[in-house]
Amino acid sequence: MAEVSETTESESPGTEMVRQENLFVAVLRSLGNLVIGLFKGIAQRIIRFVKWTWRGVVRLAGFLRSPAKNTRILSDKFISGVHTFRREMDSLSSIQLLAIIIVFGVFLIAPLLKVVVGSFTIQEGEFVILLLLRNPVFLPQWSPADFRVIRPSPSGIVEIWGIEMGVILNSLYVAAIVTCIAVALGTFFAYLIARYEFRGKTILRTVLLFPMLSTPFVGAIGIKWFLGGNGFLNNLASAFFSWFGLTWTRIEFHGLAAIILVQGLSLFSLVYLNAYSSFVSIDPSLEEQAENLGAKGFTLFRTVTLPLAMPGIQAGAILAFILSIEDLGTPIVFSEDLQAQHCLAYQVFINITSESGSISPIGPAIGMILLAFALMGFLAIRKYAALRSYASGSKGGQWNPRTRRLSARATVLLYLLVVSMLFFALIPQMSVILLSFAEYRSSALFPPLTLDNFAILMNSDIQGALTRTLSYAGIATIGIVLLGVSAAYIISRRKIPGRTALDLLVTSPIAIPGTVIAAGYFTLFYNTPFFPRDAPMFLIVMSYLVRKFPFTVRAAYAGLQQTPVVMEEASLNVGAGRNTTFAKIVVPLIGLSVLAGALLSFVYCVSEVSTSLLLGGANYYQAPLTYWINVTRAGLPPIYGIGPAAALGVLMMSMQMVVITVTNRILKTRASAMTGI
Amino acid sequence: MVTIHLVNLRKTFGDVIATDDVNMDLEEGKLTTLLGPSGCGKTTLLRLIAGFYIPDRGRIFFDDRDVTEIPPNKRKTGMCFQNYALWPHMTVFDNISYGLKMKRMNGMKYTPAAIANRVEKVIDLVHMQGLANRTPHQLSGGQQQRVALARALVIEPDVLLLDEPLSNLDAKLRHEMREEIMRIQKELSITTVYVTHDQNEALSISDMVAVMDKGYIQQYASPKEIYARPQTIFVADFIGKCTFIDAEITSLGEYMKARLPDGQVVSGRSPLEGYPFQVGERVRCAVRPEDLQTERTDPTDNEIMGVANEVVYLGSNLEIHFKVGDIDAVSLLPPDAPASKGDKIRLFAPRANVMVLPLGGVDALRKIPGHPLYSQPAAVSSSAA
Ligand SMILES: Nc1ncnc2c1ncn2[C@@H]1O[C@H](COP(=O)(O)OP(=O)(O)OP(=O)(O)O)[C@@H](O)[C@H]1O
Ligand SMILES: [Mg+2]
Repeated sequence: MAEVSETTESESPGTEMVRQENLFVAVLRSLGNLVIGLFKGIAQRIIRFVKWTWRGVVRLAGFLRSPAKNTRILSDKFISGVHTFRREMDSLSSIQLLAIIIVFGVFLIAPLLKVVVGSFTIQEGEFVILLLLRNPVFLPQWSPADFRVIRPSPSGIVEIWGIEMGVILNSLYVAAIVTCIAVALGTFFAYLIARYEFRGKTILRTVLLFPMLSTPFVGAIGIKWFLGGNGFLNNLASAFFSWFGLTWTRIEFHGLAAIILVQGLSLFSLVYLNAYSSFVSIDPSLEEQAENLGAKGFTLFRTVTLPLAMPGIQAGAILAFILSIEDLGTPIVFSEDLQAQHCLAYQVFINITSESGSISPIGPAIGMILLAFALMGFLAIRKYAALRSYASGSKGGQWNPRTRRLSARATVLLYLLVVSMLFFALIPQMSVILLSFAEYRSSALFPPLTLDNFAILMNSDIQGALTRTLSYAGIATIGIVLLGVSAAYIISRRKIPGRTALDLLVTSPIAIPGTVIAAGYFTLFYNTPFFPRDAPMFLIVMSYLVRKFPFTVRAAYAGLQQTPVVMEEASLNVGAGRNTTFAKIVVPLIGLSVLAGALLSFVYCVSEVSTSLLLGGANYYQAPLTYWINVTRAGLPPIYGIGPAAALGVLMMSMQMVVITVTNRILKTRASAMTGI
Repeated sequence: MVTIHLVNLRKTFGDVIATDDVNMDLEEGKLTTLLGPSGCGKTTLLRLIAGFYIPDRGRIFFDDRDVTEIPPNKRKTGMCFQNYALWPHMTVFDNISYGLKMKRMNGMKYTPAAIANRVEKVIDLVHMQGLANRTPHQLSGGQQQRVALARALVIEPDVLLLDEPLSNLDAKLRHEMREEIMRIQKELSITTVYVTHDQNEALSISDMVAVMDKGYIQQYASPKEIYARPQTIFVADFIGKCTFIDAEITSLGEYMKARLPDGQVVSGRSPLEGYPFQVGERVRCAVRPEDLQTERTDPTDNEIMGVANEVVYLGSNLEIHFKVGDIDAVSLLPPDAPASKGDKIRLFAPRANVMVLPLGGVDALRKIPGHPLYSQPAAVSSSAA
């Protein structure tokens, strides 16, 4: 892969030439630059966002300086805005827009505002949020014990723990490390798939979609068992070592270290899909030009390919960061380790569920911190995450992307590398499947297989939860499709003022932590007709609708983008009204894209964890499947326990697998839409 | 059956002025072509008439009705898009019949049988028999274009808007389709706007031609007028061939005299009536190749001396490229004219055929009282900015 540019020694070396540095050093240096570049880029995005906010403040200040004149300008703008609005919108679009604004206003904005306001309420003469910062659990204590990462246990197992730095910093550094793992794995696989032709590539492509399956929550159940001190991997290594007469020291991951591992292995697919889309949509002529000028191999990659793909990689990275910081399932699975509880998402969870009846402001206050981080990340990539960013990229996939065929020898080498990395990357999925078939408490290296765990499917509680989940998700998906297609249509076709804001509004849920939304629902709606004391059903559906909205709106928008506006104009021209045109031309043309989006929204609804756990707690018998997976996991074997929980996980994963394979077919190179951005 | 009035239209995209200062009356039943180089604003103007763009300023009338703000589906125009815009999810039949299904007259609509009948007729007309059940991606480029044309024709619109409807067809088919368009247009007396950048096509089919450049209508007149009396240097150059000579006016009158840089004096006449020429003004004289003769027919004829540097035999004519001083000139002589490369040649141009044109393009037109672009000098400078 690396290159040596043969600088032909001219007759006079002169002062304009320096010696080529050692190849190995060069590659190492570029790799270093790469990592630095990535974080620099992310930092720049965040700085740009801060500046943007600052400009807004300055403009507001400017406005207040001469209010009379500016009010006039503003009102003129407003009037012309109203004018365009009236011309652009017809009755149907207006109703659609109104519905979107009401749903998002009531079930997203209002709860979030409530959380923000709640965290600034005063308790014991102090802002709640400041009370938190006084709590030793939330701040680093810098005691030496906190930094003990390797802790041998009496039973001879070496335990690996995370560093303890207080809830806030814990969440941040865990997310940062997870992001690094995700970027390394994701970019590697994306480049491999996008640029090399080799036998078995299609299989590899499909397999790489598996990590999209299941939330970290389900994966964590499997990994905990798989990598446990007496788990499969340790047993395997031990058997392998004793074969050579050596002894293997059993290793077990605990606390934050375990969370890092689980999330890293689950979230890398976000970077993978976004990077892959970026790689294949690079105009081949850009790389050809560079090649023409003498760049080859690694230099070409570093100077042209990677910078062009950087927006995709960065967006994937930030998304991985956000999802890591908001992930609630993994900390719950590892919550026996006190350390695993010391992260923001878990703190919101316990502070809300422990106080049923009256809601303590502590939960919202922690949620506010979580929200701040997540929103900052989202706004940093807002340009990339916006629907309209695809406007120029509609040519993607029109040309044959540059791929290189590998020789047989290289393929074998590649396989060795890929198979080992893939094994690592697929641990969550493999372990869940294995666990679901493993006999309870078997200590054999290869546990005897059994279907006993699947008996849980006969359990009437579980069956109830399953039907409930499917109907919740179904209803939410219908709402998502109705509103999502409308939103996509308005954003792509109606030149109304405030389009950017609408775009931001409907894409933001991808970054907003479910725990925070649930916290908002509790504080705002608890004990109202929306949320009677023991009936969270309606709000569960609404939270699904809002949270999984971006998938459909994105797919619908992509469909509209691929359909030239002239198709609609041709219909208007022959006398069809806007509504007829919408029904007869637009809907059939984008139907397939919408279907893909709707399927994605549906499976993500089914596997939604955080609001399900929080809201479901209000009444078990209205709680969805993910809630019951958690109940099953925590229950007593042999009827409950991790085996049956894994069996439910397998059920969920198979459903997701079908959907993801189908949508991947439909979305093709735009598969990054599966990640929600 | 409608007359279209375009009043003072302007449309910009950000900083790009796509079209500006458009004032035209397109009379009912007439076929008008918009002619001009790529990017001059033809499609933009057509889309303004169809209602897909709202002009930045100015108004559009269909007869007395102000349609500027009327949505496209209420304008009864049939448009054939430059890139066809066929719906990929519908067959040829469905594409064409769509407009008929939408059409309502006094609350009545077409019966399926009537629709089928009309579609069949128009399919015959565009020679697409037997292809009605195909989908657009199963058709060749030319076939797709004919479907687009059929779709616009079948609804018998008040206004037919054709954006380069024949650009993808072979010469024979193009000729045939052109005849059909003209026949239907005349038969139903549909006001038609036809976009093309092929000057022969424009001159041969139109009642009126609007030559456009850089967003401005350079001249709007009958084909004959456009050729014989071009109003701007651009028009003279774009339509037919011309030899241009820069000069400076020395005397005014119906026939003006102008001095060339080398001291020769030519006399000619301006096709622009009412333009305030001034002595000393720099102008450009234009002569068509066929207006140069080998014999003097009148004592007032201009005499031109040059050196032939290329002689092209065209069968019916001899095209001679020659140099007058350092100006490149071209003439079209009878095939038996004695001339070969390197010869000194002497030609005569009747002064009525030497066209004196002001510099400044459309801005010069603004100085002519009575011209649609006429404006006070202050307005000129503001629109130039
Ligand atoms: N949507 C748009 N946004 C920005 N600029 C545009 C847009 N549409 C047209 N233009 C610009 O306006 C000018 C006129 O475009 P128009 O499409 O009317 O040209 P045209 O005369 O139809 O050209 P052609 O013969 O190539 O079809 C061009 O300079 C073009 O780049
Ligand atoms: Mg055009």
